[in-house]
This record gives sequence, structure tokens and C-alpha cells, in this order.
Amino acid sequence: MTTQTLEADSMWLEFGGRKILQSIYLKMETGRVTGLLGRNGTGKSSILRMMFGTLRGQNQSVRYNGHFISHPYLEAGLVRYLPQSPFAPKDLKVLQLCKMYKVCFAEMINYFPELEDYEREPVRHLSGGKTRLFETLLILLSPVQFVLLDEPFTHIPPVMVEQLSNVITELKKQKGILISDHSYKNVLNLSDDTYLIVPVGRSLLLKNPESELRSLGYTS
Amino acid sequence: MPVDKDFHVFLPLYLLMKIYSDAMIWWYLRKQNAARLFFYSNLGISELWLYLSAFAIDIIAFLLFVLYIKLLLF
Repeated sequence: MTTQTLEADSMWLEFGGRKILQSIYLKMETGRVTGLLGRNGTGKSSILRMMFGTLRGQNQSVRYNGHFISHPYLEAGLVRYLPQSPFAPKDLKVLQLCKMYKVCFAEMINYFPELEDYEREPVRHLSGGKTRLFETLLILLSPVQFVLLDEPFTHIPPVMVEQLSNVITELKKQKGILISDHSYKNVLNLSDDTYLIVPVGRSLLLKNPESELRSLGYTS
Repeated sequence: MPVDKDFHVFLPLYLLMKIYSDAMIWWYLRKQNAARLFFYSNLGISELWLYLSAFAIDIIAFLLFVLYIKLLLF
């Protein structure tokens, strides 16, 4: 399989004169997991939404294999995004959602057999943790080349985080995965490349993540 | 409902009212439930297309209903 790339470059974002992002470069590749770390309010979610194409900044350039695309989410089979908050309509059934997103439910329960009982249940019947897990899998198993995951480990119990990490490692063979999460150890364990967002809105590609995170004040 | 000779007066007012109320719904949903829109973006549907198609379906359903009433009165 040839490697596909998705790059975010020259991201510039301001809200009411307050600079959020000003010098961002980020590269995703199929077959690799890219980690995105940063303190609260540094603009991680904004980067993901700008890469997805639903947030417009003062300037941005998203390139697929070197070609500029203005709204990546409108390109069929290119990218899907897991937002921080629940996004699936609560009245739709789990199986219906899988069909709409062209996700194989059998593959989902192959990874997480505990979801089997919810096949014909509406999303509102799932607990908070199971909703988060289901939505994360819905995006991860989508037939797209790139997935952007914003805090996929939030509300998920540790044993499932471990299982989900295994799924991500398995699925990276087929797609490029970007993970942004405060659970930085999980992100570091999974990532082939790690970027840190530092004030004000600059991205750094870390060569020695553990020591650089400490020296840059992200960890103590 | 004025579906007969006063319909040409009623229709523009109805459309203005629909545009205003739909704009209010759009504003409210963006403010309260912005993350829900990602369900549609992940399916490759833009926000503008989503609201314009909902608006168009609404208007078409209304006009079909008016036509049905007119045929009943004919």
C-alpha cells in the first residue's frame, strides 16, 4: 500500500483579536499514529476541526498528498472526526448508525464483544462510557484514510483503554490516525510521531518526547 | 388559510416568517448543540446544505398541502 499524507500547514486562528494558533505544521501518514499534546486552551481541538474543514481560521492550508483541499470532510472516503462531545443522534439505533457510516457491526463486536447486546438499542440506552466507546469505534472503523480523534480515552475505563489502544495499533496498518488526549502516556505509547502545541499556537515535533515534554513544562 | 385570491399576499409573508424562524432554530442549534452537527459533517454533509435542504423540504411540503386544499375546494 502506498503511503498517503495529510498535512496541516500555516494554520492561523484568532478569536476576537486573541491569537490561538499562528505557526502550525502537522503531518499525518497512513500506517502511522500521530499524537497531539498540549495544555488546555492551546488550540488542539481547533487544529483538528480546521484539518477536518468545519472551522475556518484567518489562514489555513490542508494538503492531501501535496494537493490543497479547502473542505476535507466533503471529500468522499478521506477523513472522519471524533469530537470531544457526543455527536450521534440518541434516538438512532446502534446498527442503523453503523449502516449510515458504512461500518461493519460484526467487526466492532469482534473487538468489543460487550457491545453485541446493544445492536438493536438506541444510543440513549448506552451508558456514557459505552456511548464514547461506540462513537470512537464508529469513527475508527469508518472506511476512510484518516481519522482525527479528540480525547478518545475520556470516560473510558482503563481496561477498555488498553483494548482500544490495541484496536488503534491494529487499524493504523490501513489508515492514518491522529490522537489528541490528556492521557499523555497512552498517546506516547501509541504514537509514531508526537507534536506538542506550545503558547502561543506553535507546534513542535518532538524527537525525544518524554524528556522534551518535561523540559517544555508539559510534565514535571 | 387564505389559499384563494389572497394567497399572493400571504405567501411572501409566510416565506419571511419561515426564514426568520429557521434562522432562529439554526442559531439555537449552533449555540446549544454544535457537536451534533459533526454527525452530518462525518457523512460529508455541510451545515449550509443541511439547513437549506430542510428549508426546501418544508416549503415544498407546505405548497403541496396548499395544492391539496385547493383541489379539495375545486
